[in-house]
Amino acid sequence: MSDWLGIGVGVLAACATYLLLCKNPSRRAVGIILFGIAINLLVFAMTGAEHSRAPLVAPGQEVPRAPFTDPLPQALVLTAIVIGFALQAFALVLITLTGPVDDAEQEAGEEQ
Amino acid sequence: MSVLVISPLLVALLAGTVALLFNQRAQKSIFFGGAFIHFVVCVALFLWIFRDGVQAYHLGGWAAPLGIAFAADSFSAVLVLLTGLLGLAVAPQAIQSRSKEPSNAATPSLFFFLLAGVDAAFLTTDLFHLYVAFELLLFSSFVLLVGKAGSKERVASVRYLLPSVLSSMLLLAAVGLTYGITGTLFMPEVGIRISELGPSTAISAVAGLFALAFSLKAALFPVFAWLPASYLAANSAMAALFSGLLTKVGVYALVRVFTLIFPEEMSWLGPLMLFVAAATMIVGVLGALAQWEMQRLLTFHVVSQVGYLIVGFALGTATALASLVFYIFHNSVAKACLLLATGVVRVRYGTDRLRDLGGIVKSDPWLAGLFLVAALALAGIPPLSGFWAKLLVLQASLESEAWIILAVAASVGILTLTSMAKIWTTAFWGEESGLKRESSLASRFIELAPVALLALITILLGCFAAPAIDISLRAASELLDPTAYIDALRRSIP
Repeated sequence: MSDWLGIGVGVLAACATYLLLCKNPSRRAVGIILFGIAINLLVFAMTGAEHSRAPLVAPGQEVPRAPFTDPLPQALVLTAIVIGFALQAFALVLITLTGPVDDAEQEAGEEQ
Repeated sequence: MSVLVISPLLVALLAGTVALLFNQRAQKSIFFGGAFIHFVVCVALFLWIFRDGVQAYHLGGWAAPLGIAFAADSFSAVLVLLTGLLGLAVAPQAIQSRSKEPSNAATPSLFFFLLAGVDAAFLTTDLFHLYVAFELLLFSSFVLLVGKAGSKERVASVRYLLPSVLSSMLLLAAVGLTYGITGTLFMPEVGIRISELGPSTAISAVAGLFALAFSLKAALFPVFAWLPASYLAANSAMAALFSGLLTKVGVYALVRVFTLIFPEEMSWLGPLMLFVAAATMIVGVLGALAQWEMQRLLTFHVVSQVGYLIVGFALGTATALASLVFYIFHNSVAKACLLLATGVVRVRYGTDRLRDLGGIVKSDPWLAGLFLVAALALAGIPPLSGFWAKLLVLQASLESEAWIILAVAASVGILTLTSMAKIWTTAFWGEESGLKRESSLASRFIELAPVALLALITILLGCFAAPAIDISLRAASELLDPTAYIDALRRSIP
């Protein structure tokens, strides 16, 4: 499970890097989103997803039965998803507002 | 009492929330009042740490690995003091520029949330909370930067947004991997586990991710291009605040993480960072020399000056870290002073193009005098603060026998002076431009008071350098030996 997650993160991050290097702003926006997903999956992989058992404490016990998934990274990912979603939404709005800036226009903007 | 550790953060969050509730008119007084109270609280925290040493606070009464703990040592206290000071100094001009273009009603609260994010980053001891603090200050800075929302500003903010988002994501990845390796996010404990585990490729890779993420934030070579491209679109007050605080947050995080968590990794990162520091200094100052607008020139200097800070970090000795602490304070104050003075020039003359300006010495002697003080301080002329800051950097590189860095730092100092002379001779000397707009005495006073305050601080810091250097040395020794930091966290467990 972890191996597959690792490969998935790698492929996503590679695609995101390619898109981020494009000149087209909307491609870059998609790149940001993909990169965010890749990183979230990476943090999620720290739970030890291969055990995939909920950390529930059985009656009469003090600790959950090992092996279990670690809930903390899931909480971290949840926070990161929320923050990342807001960030991506803001980025999208900003990139859309900037509009289809062609190269000439952009250079003219720099000259000012 | 120990809640005082997070009081700057609380004041900033409260002021930001209160500002949202009121109309434009009341916002002005909340803006300045909040900045003033924040400043007072920061000074109180600094004095407390100065007297009693490192202090810590466990949020909500939960002991650290479960809850989030905050700790303030001398380094954090100096930087929080700087945050309070710059917040106070920037507020009047920010209010003034807002009354001309009242488009963005959320500005005061965003300003305070930015300060809250910066304070939180300086005080937290939890890696994930550090990430959250970065996001808080990033979000606020995006909107503060877009502000006017013309097409030029939007292009600039897209340039700011992409690297910032990328560095946050890299930081999140590094934090996640750290948790995977050590099973905790509480920085002192992460440090202990890492040293127990011993060196490994995984740990080096995570350390490299942290270094890359923070370098992007601090605008180091080769990932600095976003800073001049975006700061020039901000109004001068915000540029002063951003250049004084945001890059420094990156430097702070770099120092904190690598002294507390990865001290062993400095064996390979140190030499690399030394090269990065030299390149950052040179590229920044050469970029500055090529500019013909005041704010653009000064933002390139922001990059160049961060290079000096990184020299201190890369050498890692007690003197070197002390030079970093002293340099951060000096540089943020001097640079904010110059950028605020640029803001005054923009307001009074309607432009900051060097070719259009001239003769400010005759038309605005006070402004010219204050600009000269800050410019000479930045260039490192005695007896101003910059002289001692540069002297400490040079002394640190002498002690470590880093001859190339010594030569680079000294020659970049001369180039800095040259670029300051360029502004001075074209904009301040020569024929009067005749662009000056008349303004009332009261508004002239409000414009100049913060500039004068910051200029006064660089003079005082230069004349009374000994106590300031003592504090810097104390901060350096606390960074190199984090026992006091860890003890304070243990002691304060409720």
